[in-house]
This record gives sequence, C-alpha cells and structure tokens, in this order.
Amino acid sequence: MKVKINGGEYDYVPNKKHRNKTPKASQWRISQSLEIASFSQSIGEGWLDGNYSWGLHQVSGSCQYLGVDRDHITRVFIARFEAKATPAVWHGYPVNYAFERPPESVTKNWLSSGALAAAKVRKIIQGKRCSL
Amino acid sequence: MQPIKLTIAGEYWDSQIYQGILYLFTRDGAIKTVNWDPLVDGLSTGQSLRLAASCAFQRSDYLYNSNFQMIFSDADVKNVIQKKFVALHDCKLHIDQKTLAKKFERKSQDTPFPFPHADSLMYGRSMYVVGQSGLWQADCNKRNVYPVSRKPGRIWDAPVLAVSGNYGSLALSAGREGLWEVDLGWSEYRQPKKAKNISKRPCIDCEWLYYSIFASSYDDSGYLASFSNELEHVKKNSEDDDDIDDLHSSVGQGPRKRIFEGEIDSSQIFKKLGHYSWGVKDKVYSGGNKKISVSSYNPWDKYGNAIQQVGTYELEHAGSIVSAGVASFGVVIEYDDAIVVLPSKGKAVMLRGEPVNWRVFPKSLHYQNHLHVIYGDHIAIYSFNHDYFVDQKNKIYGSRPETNELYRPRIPQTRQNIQL
Repeated sequence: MKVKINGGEYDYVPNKKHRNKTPKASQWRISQSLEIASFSQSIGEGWLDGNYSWGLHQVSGSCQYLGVDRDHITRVFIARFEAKATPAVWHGYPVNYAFERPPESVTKNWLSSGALAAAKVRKIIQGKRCSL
Repeated sequence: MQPIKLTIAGEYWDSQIYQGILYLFTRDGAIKTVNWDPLVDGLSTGQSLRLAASCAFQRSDYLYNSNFQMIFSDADVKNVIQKKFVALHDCKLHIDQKTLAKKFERKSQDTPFPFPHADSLMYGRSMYVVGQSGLWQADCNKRNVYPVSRKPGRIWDAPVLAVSGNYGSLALSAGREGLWEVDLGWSEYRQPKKAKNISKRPCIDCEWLYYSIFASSYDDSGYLASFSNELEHVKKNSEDDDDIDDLHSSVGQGPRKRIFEGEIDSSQIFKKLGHYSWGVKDKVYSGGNKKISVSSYNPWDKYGNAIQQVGTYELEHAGSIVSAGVASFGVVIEYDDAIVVLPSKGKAVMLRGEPVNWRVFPKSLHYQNHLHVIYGDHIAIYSFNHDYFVDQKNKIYGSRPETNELYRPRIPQTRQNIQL
C-alpha cells in the first residue's frame, strides 16, 4: 500500500509473520492501521537510521505497548521498520531493545521531542528494565 | 539520621563530580562545569553548620579518619556532631538556574561525545563516556577554556551499556556481548590497549570488587570475574638489583599484574539460584522476592575463603529491581517507581518517583557519601552521613569507605626482614 508522509509516498507491505503467531517472530498487538500510523510517525519525525526507522505507539501523547517479543510473552513498545529491495518497500515489526537498540540519533530525537520520557530513554540506552 | 538534600534546578541527563568540579550533562546535549566548593561554601547554613556542610558535600573522607573515629568513642562529642547533621537536614538547600549560571558555573559547552550516552566516568583526570557508538575519552582540565576537551578520542567502537574504572583499566558492560576490559596503558605511554573480552555471558552493569569485577545481568543474575593480583617478575639490570627484587617479593610490593582466574556464578556466591546481583569492593548483594542476600568479599583472606555469606534479610519494597549500586553509606536499589536506600544504620530511605538517572561514587575519596538523583526538572544531591558512626567491620549494607590513610601491608617475618 502507498503511505503519504510529509508530501512523500512510501510503499508499505505489512509482513504476515508478525501477526500470525509465527514462532520466534515478534508479534504486533495493535491494529494494522496503528502499525502504519507508527511507521508514518517514525518517517515523519525523522527517527531514521540508514535503512531503518524506529517507531513508537503513542496514545494521547503517551507511549503504549505495541506488541510482544519473539517469545510472544515479553511486551515491547518499540518497532523497527526496514526498507527491503529497490525501490524501497517497507515493513515493520516490534523489537525488544535488549537485543536491538535504536541508535543515538534516534534516542536523541525521542529525548528532545519528548516522544518518550527521559527516564525511559535512559533505561533503553542502558539496556535496563523499563515498564510503561 | 536522614540524608541531607541539595537541589539544583535544571533539566539534566547525567552528573559527575570530581576534584571540586560538578559536571552536569543537560538534556539538550551540553555539559555545565560548576565550581562545587564555592557553591557549598555559599549555602545559607550559618557558621555553626559549616563543618557539617563541608563533610556532607565536600570531604566525605574527613570523619572516617581514625583520629575522628577515636573522638567519636566519646558519646557527647558524637552527639554534638550528629545534631549538626540533623540540623543541616532541616535546612532547605536549593540553587536555582539563574544563581547557578551567575555565581557558580565555570563553563557551559556542547558535549564532545555522542549524545545521549549510556554511562559516564571520571577516572585519571579524564572523562569517559559510553553508549551505542562505543567508548570515548576526553581530557579534563578545569583551567582550560573548555574544561572537557573538545577533541575526544574513540577507544572502542562496540555498543557499551556501562563503564567502571579501577587498576588502570575500564570494565565495560556490553549487554549480550558480555563483559570486556580495556587496559588504559598507564604504564606504557598512556595508550589504551585493545579491548579484551573477559566473559561472553550477558552483562548490563559492572563494578569493581577490588581487582576483580562483578558483572550484573537480568539473564543469569550475574557473576564475579575473579582475578588474582600477582607480583610481576621484574627484570634485574645488575646483580645489585638482587636485594631490591628480594625486598619486593618479601614485603609484597612492586609492580603487579592482574590475572584472570575464572567466573564465579552468583548462585555459587549465594548458594542458591540467584536474583539480580551486584557488588562493589567488599560486598556482593542479590535481591528479589522482597529479600536481599549479602556476601562479603576479601581476596586477601589468608584461609582462602574470599567469599563469605553474611545473611539474608527482608526487603520492605516489592517489585523488580531495575538497577542497584553500593556506596559506603549503604545499598541503593532502583525500582520502577522509586529508589530505595538501605543505609548501613537505620531505616530504609525511599525516594519516590522514577528517576531520569542516578549514581553513587563508591571509589571517590571526597564524594563517597553522595547520591545524585536526576528528576524531570532538577538534580537532587543527597548526602548520607550516618556511616561515620557505624562499626565498619560488621556493617551489612555498604562498602568499605575510602580514606586517605595509607594502607600498610603486614610484612611477613622472613630472613630478609630480620636482616633489615
């Protein structure tokens, strides 16, 4: 599907394995439209790092859990989107920051924009337990 | 005895204090260097509380001195000093941003390091910072226009979660990549050596137990990377050096080398499946299920019992431990919604609210009684002063204090000693 963000158009194809309980694949626990909203925000806000963008799920300005990790138990609140192939086709999946941590450019943006509370950003960067 | 609290307004990310300078990392990526001693001297405490204020914020080693310990055996003297700390606790000590900038700020500069970082460290007149982009170092000199050099060097490029320094080396927690160490090469032109992997087991935090390193982990509760610290063989330049070499070996002096001996699992230390564990210097702790287990560590134990179990005690606060630390004044535990301090004497102190960051300075001589806690709009610098009056040999919570008194090793009676 085509997603319009800040005047640009992005191809986004949700990956089924992150919704159909595939073992060892993290699972979305928010609707597909909210998954795309998370993608739109990550691109729109410039939460980018090479071929990846990093998303959150915000409800009334507050960050919420968006899925579960590869064990299908651990709740997670960060998503990673990646563009495969040329031209770029994006898809995304929930990630556990204990394994995949966003780069400093993204956490800096989250910190300065207030997308995530400073205390939460610190715990992500330090790999510490963080509950919302 | 309640802690003394000094607050400084502002939005901070991290803090360090070293040789009379308070370093405040702001959340917009700057470092403010603050003249700490004038700030403390300028607190409106009144002349009668000057000694207490100085011991609380500038010279934590002062009252640990053995001369004072002797004086404290007089209950009346002890009572007078304690009352001064209690009176200081009742004072509202606050610095607003305007006063900070006008009176005490030496410099505000952009951080030369990638920001936001995971951890920082002051060690050997350098500032070290770690994060996703690795380990960085910058020289610090308060006399320079920029107290933190604007030309930092990158020592290692792997993501690091935490750093701690001792014995001329840095211990590095690299999460799933394990525990690493960088020899700063102080004995050889101050050129850091290549990072060395100590253990492949996960490590999210690390601290030094004298010359060994304790690695904390959520995955398998943690482990002690045990080292020995042995005399290095010194090359003799001539036959005349024989005496010097013999003297070194007899009194245990001379250059030493740390040698990795192996890992000791937290479950071995506490004789049960462990929870989150941590330690510093002479203490190791393991906490969970509203209980905390304590073990002592003495690598010099002459009977070979370096680790000894002390006991298991009830914890009032429930919840998962996010992180923890140890200082001379007690144990600090971070939960989701609060920091709890288990002091070496007295009731637990609860600091409610989720902190942006916090740190203690267990290896500092002058600031070992500090607990820095950063909240949304200020930093709270707590000073704990009960530990001066505690029996250091038998305390359960808290590490051995730092003092400026020289450590004198016991000289074994050998033929060489007798001849001397």
